[in-house]
Order: sequence, then C-alpha cells, then structure tokens
Amino acid sequence: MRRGVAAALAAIAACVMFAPALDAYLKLGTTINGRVLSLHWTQLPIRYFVTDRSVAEVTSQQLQQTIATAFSTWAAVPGVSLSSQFAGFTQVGPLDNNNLTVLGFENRPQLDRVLGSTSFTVDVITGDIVESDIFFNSAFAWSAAAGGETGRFDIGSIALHEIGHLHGMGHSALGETQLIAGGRRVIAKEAVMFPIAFAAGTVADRTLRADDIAGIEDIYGTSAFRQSSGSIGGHVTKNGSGVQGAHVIAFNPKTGKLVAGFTLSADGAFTIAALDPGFYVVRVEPLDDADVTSFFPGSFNVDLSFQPAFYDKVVVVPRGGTASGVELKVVPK
Amino acid sequence: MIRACVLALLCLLWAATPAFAQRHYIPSDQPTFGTLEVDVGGVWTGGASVGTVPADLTNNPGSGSGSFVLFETQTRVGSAPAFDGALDLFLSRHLSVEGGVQISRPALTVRNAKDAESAPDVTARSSLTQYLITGSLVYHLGGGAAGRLQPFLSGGAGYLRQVLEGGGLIDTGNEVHVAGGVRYWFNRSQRLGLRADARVSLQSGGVAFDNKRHTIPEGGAALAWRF
Ligand SMILES: [Zn+2]
Repeated sequence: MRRGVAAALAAIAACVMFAPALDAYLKLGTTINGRVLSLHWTQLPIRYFVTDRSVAEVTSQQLQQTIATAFSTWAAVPGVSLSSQFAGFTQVGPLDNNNLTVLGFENRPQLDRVLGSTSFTVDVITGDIVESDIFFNSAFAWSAAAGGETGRFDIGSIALHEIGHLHGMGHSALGETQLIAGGRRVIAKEAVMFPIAFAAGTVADRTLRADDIAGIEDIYGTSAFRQSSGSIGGHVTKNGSGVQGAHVIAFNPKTGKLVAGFTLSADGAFTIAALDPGFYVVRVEPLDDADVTSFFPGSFNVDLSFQPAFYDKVVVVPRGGTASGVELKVVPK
Repeated sequence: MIRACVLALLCLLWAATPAFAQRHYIPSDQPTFGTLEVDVGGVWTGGASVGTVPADLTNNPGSGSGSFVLFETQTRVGSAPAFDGALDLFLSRHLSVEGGVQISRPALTVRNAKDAESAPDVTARSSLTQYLITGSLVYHLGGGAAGRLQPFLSGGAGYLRQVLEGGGLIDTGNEVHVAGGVRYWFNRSQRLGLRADARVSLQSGGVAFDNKRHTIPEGGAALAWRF
C-alpha cells in the first residue's frame, strides 16, 4: 500500500491477513497451520491482466506499458529468477476475487491517502499466491509523462512499489519523515518500498535502490546468487531482553549501499540477507518514521522506546555465508 | 657468467656443509655479481584513512535536491608492526635487485559519526591480515669500500593483499615505494650486519575505496646476512 501523505489508516479490507515472515528482509507472509510462510510466486511467469480503464493523463495503454516496465525492472535485478506475462486487457476491475491477477485504476475517494494497494489470494494449504490484484486510486491525479508532471503522481513510481508488494515484498523503513498535520511527509528515503511516496510530480521512485534489490534477491535469488552473497545475523537487546520490531541497517562504506531488516521475534533476532560480501557497519533504530501498521500487523508488539545505536565492531560478510553473532545492545530512551 | 656459476656453487656447498664452507669462504669487502643477501627483521607501518563516505538517503525531490546524510563514516587502516623479509641479488657492487615481503595485522576501523538521530559516535573495529610483496632496485653508495657503514637508496613497486578478519575475503591493491637506509657490518667481511631503513609506500586499492594513493611511512630494522 502506498500513501500520498500518509496517516494512521488501517489496512484496506481487500488485503489478506499478513504476518511478518521470520526471515531477513521484511517479506509479506501468511500464517498457515501455525507456520509463517513468506508469500512468493511459484508459478512463473506471473500472468497478469490490466483493466481497460483510463484516467485523465493516463490511458489504459500507457498504464499497461508502465506496468510492463515495472515488472521488467524487478525481473532485471541481478541474481533473481522472475518473469511476467501480460495476458491482455480486461473489463474486470482490480478488486474482483476471480483467480485472475488484475492491475488497474479504481476510484476509491474514501481512501484519501492511499495511492495504490496490493491484495492477495493465497492457497491456504501451500501458501502459494493464487491471485494478486493492484488498484491505483483514480481519486488522485496521475501522470505517465517521462519527466513527471507537477501536481500529479507518477504512475511508474507507484506501480514499481505496488508490484514489489505483488512479488511478496513488505515495506522498507529506510526513510526519514516529519509529522505534519494529518500525517507524515517524507524528508528523504532510500527504498522504493518505503510506505510513503515522494511528493507528486517526481519520478525518483522509478529506480530501485540497494534495499529494494536486496529484498527481491532475498525472495527470488538463484542458488548461484545465494552462494555469491552473504548475510548478517544477530540480536538487538535492551536490559538483557530482546527488542522486537527494531530497524537494523547495514551500511557498506565501500559500495555506499544501505540495506536494512527488522528484528522479527521476541528475542530480538534479525537477519539481513542478500548482501554483497565485504565489510559493513551496523546501526539500529526504533521504527518511528512511519506507522507501525505499515510494516506489521496490529498484534505484533513493536518496541519504539530505545535510542539509535551503532554496533562497535566492523562486520565482515562472507561470500555464501552469514556473519553471525552481531549483538546490538540498546539503551532506553 | 662463469664467475656467477662458481659463486652459486660455493653458496650451495656452504649451505649444505657449513663447516666445509667456512673453511673455503673467501671474504670480500665488496659484493659482486651473484652475491646474495637475506634480511630478516621488523618494520613499523603507518596508518591511513582509506575512505570517508556518508550513508545517504535521497532527499524528497518535492522539497529539495541532493542527499540526506543519515550518518558519516571514516574508514581507516591503522598503523602496525610487521614482519619484514628481503632477498637481494647483486648485479654489481653498487646495484642489487631485491624481493621483499611484509606481513602485518593492522586494525580496520570505521568511525561512525554525525548521526541524524543522535546515535552516539562509535568507532567500529576489526582487523586485516596484510601481505605486501615488493620488488626493488637498490643502489649501494660506496659499493662497500667505505667500511662498516654502507648507505643505500631503493625504489620499486609491490602487490598488496589484504584479508578481512573472519570472512576470508581478499582485497588486492598495489604500491610504489622509495626507501633509504644504511647497513652496518659487524666485520669487514660484510657477511653479517644490521640494516635500518625508512620508506615511503604509496598504496592504492585493497580495502581502500577513495581512489587515492595513500602515503604510508615505514621504518624498520633487520639482520642482514650476505653470502
Ligand atoms: Zn506499500
């Protein structure tokens, strides 16, 4: 889901229930028979339809081309095995539950801060994605212009974000925001999958960042990729107890890449996967730059009451292995 | 050429049977073509900052351009003592070619500072195992005739190999160097002495990522054995 200015809104009803998968990058997951399974496509190519519905400044053909570009952008990430296929235009809307993956415009004026949303139908036995639909809220002004248009949201940027969800990716927290009346405004971010969009008129989110790339590689990385990349694992603790929902950032000074993950269990365990081998510094911060519900279900207890901190060792990520034992101790705010 | 072969044969015999060699060794004040020298000792190598980069986020284009600095990092390879070994082959009494190796374990540190959310500054630490393999041309002033003290000048290039702690990852680079020093021979046969030198090594690559050559001062001493 992508919010224009963002506010404390609940997830829309069309979404299935998500649970954070107990793994590296925040992936969408679902609980089946008590087990958390990360959502991903097992049948490739992903066949999708586009609703034959235009809005001002964006025809259905332009929307289809934009969507195809966004799928291609994700599939072009090195080391992933992904493919998609445009199956045709349809009169069916993107919110119909019909075992077809449909993307298109839908007018939802009541969702006055939601630019787009992705929903899933999941096989409750296997956890496989059966259907995933994306709607772009035509209550907003859209543009498909190459350089963007003042006052209009870029459909290419928002499509790239939503199609990241469609592939099973959750939100990234690599961003800084400020509270404004009625919500939050992005100051800066370093992930297309950050839950709050840049301002209307900009096209900066047509380009995947290191965090997005690591996220998709974590889900769809080939075995060769996994043998050539590495990960960081450890815990975040406060007064001896695990910190759940902490945002852990790995920065490679040599490449300038920022990749992040979360502590996803009560003992404060985290893993950051799909990293280039090399040396990293690790930083932890509370998840306080977007609504917690943008990342986790309401039942997930997130500890926001600690000070940001750096790890006091340089972490060397090996090729094909894990730099484990990264124990980050934080102090209460 | 014949002389070189004879010298080499003498060396082999000496190595195999020291008592025999000692009896037949012909002392000389001056090295000649084919004379070898082994130096083994220690060197202090200076440290260098190898890259200063911010952890950047992209500013919201709607309100400004450029980057938002989440925090800044300064990466440094520290100073460290090193094992230092060299083998010289004399081409004439003034000139020798030298192959050398240095092995050290400097600290790799990253200073994290200026955090946007006021995380306290921290210097994160690790270490490297560093190998520097060099080749040099050495000019011996006075050619040994001056007596016990024998100054020299040298210059050359090298291959840098840095192994990161724990991960087994290897970064490679190169270096060029100039050096000057002096040998002090314990006797006029110039078989055994001390070598002291100061060097400037200009290194690039390896863990460094600032695309600069880093000036590393070095100073060392070694036991020199010529035969
Ligand atoms: Zn989203």
